Amino acid sequence: MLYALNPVKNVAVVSAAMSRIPERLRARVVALWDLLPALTTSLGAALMGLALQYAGPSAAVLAAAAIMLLLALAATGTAAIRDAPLAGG
Amino acid sequence: MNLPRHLPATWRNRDFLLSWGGQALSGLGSSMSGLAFPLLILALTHSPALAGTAGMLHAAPFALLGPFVGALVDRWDARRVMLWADAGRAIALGSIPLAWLMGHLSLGQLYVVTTVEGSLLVCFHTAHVAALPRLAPAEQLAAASAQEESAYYATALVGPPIGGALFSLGRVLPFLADALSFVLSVVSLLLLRTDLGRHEEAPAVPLWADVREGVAWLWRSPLLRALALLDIPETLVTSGLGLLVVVLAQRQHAGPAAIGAVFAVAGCGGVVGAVASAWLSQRLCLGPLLLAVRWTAVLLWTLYLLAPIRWPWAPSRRCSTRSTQSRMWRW
Repeated sequence: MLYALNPVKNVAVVSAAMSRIPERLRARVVALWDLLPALTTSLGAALMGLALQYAGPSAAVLAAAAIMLLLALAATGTAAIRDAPLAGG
Repeated sequence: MNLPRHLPATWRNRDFLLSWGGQALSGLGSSMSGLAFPLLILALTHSPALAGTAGMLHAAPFALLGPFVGALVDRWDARRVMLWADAGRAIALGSIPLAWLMGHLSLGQLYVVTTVEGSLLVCFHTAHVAALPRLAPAEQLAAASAQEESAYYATALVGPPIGGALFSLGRVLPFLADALSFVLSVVSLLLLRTDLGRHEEAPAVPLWADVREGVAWLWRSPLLRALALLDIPETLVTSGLGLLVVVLAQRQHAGPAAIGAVFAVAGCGGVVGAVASAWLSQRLCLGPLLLAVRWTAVLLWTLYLLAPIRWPWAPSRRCSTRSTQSRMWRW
């Protein structure tokens, strides 16, 4: 189910972003957006590996769930996200 | 092109279908060669480290070139960028079977090809995403984006097994198939009628100023800035998910086939999510939808805490770590 959530989020965010970014800036904003995951993806896999090896799976899952909880709280507390209108609009 | 009216709007949009079809085919080819690259380097060198270096070389251009490519694509015609990028990728991938036939294939060439392919992928991907609103009008944007996601997950699901089968028939066949997929993508781009060019004159400013303007715009948009900032820690967590699943499955003594089945089910979940996403995006407000996704993710991550329990009916046979590690790079 976690893998099913990714495309739901991606489609909503891409539709929202594409309808908001001015056409003349679109490619550079898309590229900047892609830059952040590109930088963190390899680091994330390495960090998970270290956490699994030295703290064990339960601690690694707990840490990951705690980060996801903080992100959910941050998203809920951010008015720009909470009150965002229809994705495509 | 007169297609039946009962089809969804994106299926009646000729140019979007051409672009999507070409992208799906080239994505399928890329997922085949994506598996074949480490396999071929391992066959040539027997070094996992050297195979891993190829993966790094392929991914590095996204971080190193991305912002500058984005600024350049904003100055150029997106269709031309995609055409040249995929033509270049066809030549780069095609050079592998050619060198193999001539008996000159080397690790150096594989590294150059994967770096060139990764760099041209940045160009193609940036131009492709930026061109999407021109190919699909606002009312089709969510459906078009969902269709692209479905193709991505479907090709990621079926591509590697096909690539593995081709590799067992001939080590360079996946690269040949990938090169052909890029040729087909070029043909689909040549058939596009939609104007993807720039309508205003590009200002005579340094490239760096264009990049800075993009950063400033992203920073001034409260919604997109918040989404982008939350994406950083989220990617840190989710990029380790594949490794976590492998370790948890191994702790329950799952064999390579069982672990493969877990990832196959996960891939199917991606396709299902992509199919559902257009419907959800068109009916729900973005805020509640994103919050629902985030809180569901928290719940699902917490459920992993139940996984390390050793079930009494689990077989005690230990599985091979080597065969499971070969699957990890895909997720």
